[in-house]
Amino acid sequence: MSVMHFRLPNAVAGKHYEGLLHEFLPDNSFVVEGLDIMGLEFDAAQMRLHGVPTQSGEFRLRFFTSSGNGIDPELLAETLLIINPDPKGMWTSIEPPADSPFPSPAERLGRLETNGNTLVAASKRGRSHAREGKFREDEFGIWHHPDGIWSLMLVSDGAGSAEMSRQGAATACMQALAYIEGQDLQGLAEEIARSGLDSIATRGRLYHILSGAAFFAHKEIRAAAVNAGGHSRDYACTFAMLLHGGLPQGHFFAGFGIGDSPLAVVDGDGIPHILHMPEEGDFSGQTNFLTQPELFVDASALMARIQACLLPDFRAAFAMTDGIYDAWFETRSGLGKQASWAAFLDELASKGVMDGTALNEGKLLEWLDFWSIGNHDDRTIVILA
Amino acid sequence: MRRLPVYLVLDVSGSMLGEPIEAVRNGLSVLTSALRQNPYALETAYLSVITFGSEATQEIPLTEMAAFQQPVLNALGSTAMGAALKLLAARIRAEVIPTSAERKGDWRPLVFIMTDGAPTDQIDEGLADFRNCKTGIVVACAAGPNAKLDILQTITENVIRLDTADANAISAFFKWVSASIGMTSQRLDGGQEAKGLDELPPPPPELNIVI
Repeated sequence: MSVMHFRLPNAVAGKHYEGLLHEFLPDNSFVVEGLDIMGLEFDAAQMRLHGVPTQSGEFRLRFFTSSGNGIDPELLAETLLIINPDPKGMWTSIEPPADSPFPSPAERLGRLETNGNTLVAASKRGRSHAREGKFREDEFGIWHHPDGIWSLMLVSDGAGSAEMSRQGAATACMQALAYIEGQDLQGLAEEIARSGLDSIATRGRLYHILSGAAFFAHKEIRAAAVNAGGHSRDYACTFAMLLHGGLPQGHFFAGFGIGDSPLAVVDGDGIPHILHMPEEGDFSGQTNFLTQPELFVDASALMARIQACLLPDFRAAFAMTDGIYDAWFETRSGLGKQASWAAFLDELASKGVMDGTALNEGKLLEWLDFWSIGNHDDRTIVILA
Repeated sequence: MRRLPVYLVLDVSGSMLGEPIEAVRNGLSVLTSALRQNPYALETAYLSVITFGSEATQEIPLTEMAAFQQPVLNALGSTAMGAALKLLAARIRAEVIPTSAERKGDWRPLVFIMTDGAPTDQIDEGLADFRNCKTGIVVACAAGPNAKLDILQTITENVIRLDTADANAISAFFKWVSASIGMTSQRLDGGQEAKGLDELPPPPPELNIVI
């Protein structure tokens, strides 16, 4: 009698498995050899293998006729059962070398109470960087003006291909914030009151403040690079900055971004206003960086990067890196959809991050561990509510 | 999520009988068990196997690593490479999801073609179809002295030659393919798509890059 070979579906370690044998074997009068080591058992009544596999690998199972009456058992059939490792168990975490230049902690969080609003921020090293023993390359900045009117949220995502991008991202946030601190925001508030949102005078002030902050950060990164004997492209990072002013006319928001880190405000009706749309090339990884000098040559192109809105009411404003955008919104089209934001806000509410306007930064940091297949980048988010 | 489609296009003509086909079976088995241990590949890589002897067959449609099971490979018949390219093009068109405004599609597919002989059919039509497909890195491997380098060079600029189609060389090729898929899926996690052979792991000494 020839031995039959057949295949059962693959299993996953730690996940319940069921493999049906009816198709392959005539009846249940056989003995299975090789099951015990993998944590599965044979259920003769239902002709199935079942259980939770305890280890991964490729296992040969052999099916014999029952022995008895002095007859030797005979090999009936053979199969190779593949048990995949549990994917979550493969994401190990390694600390980068302690003596590396410009170390960044694996996670960071922040919180500022403003006049009637709260700013929270969290940043976490991605599983991919953790597994490779690399640093977190994302950074954020939050700031609140002592006048109680103005707040600033910033995120920057260091490019994976640039050696010192974590320093680029940190410098971008720190220097842009320092620049904004020295700006005449009261003058901006007065200009908006006088001439409205879209006047040349208001746009001119916004250009000076926002594009100015980006250019200042750009120059500071270049100086740091030159100082270290390197090139600013080794510090490549995205840049997304959102300014909020609680003005008598309503909530004023102005965004400026370079690269694929989006900025958005969800208004009182749940409608998203995208104040920086991620810049993406034909394929992922192709985006713009703050460190590209050619982006600062054309004033009208820089002006076009400034998006502003004035809202009577808003639920929350967001700055985030692509580690979150890719997993939750996937495309620019998805980012513009009200339904995507409703689902995103529901998720944050269900995880205890947002409760109305109350924000919990500890829960935000915990939430950043969410599981999303194929998305293991650093994750950084700033929320104003 | 964006998948990394990988097409293995393997010659199973009669000349592969014996040691070569056995080495292909082992190579495929080593490749799949290695990729199952790689969390990037396990989540991202999807594998298809197309074989060609007297005709071309898609033995395994594009399948995620976790569910992949090795096909039974037997060496028999002539070398219908033209039919294989035509089928490959048709399967890429049918299985690889293009990027649209609504969703990010799959990454551009990696293609590894291995043959030990000259095509016995017309390849022009299949070649034209294949050239119209959007692909990532395409590698053609000439296994042994009877494979036609000039024909493989019309398929791709990345041609690799094995001096002999013996178990050692074929196994080295599969190990390199496995490492290439692993490295590519890891790089894609950081959003970087490889564009050339120089972005794959360096080939072992058994593999000669044809310039």
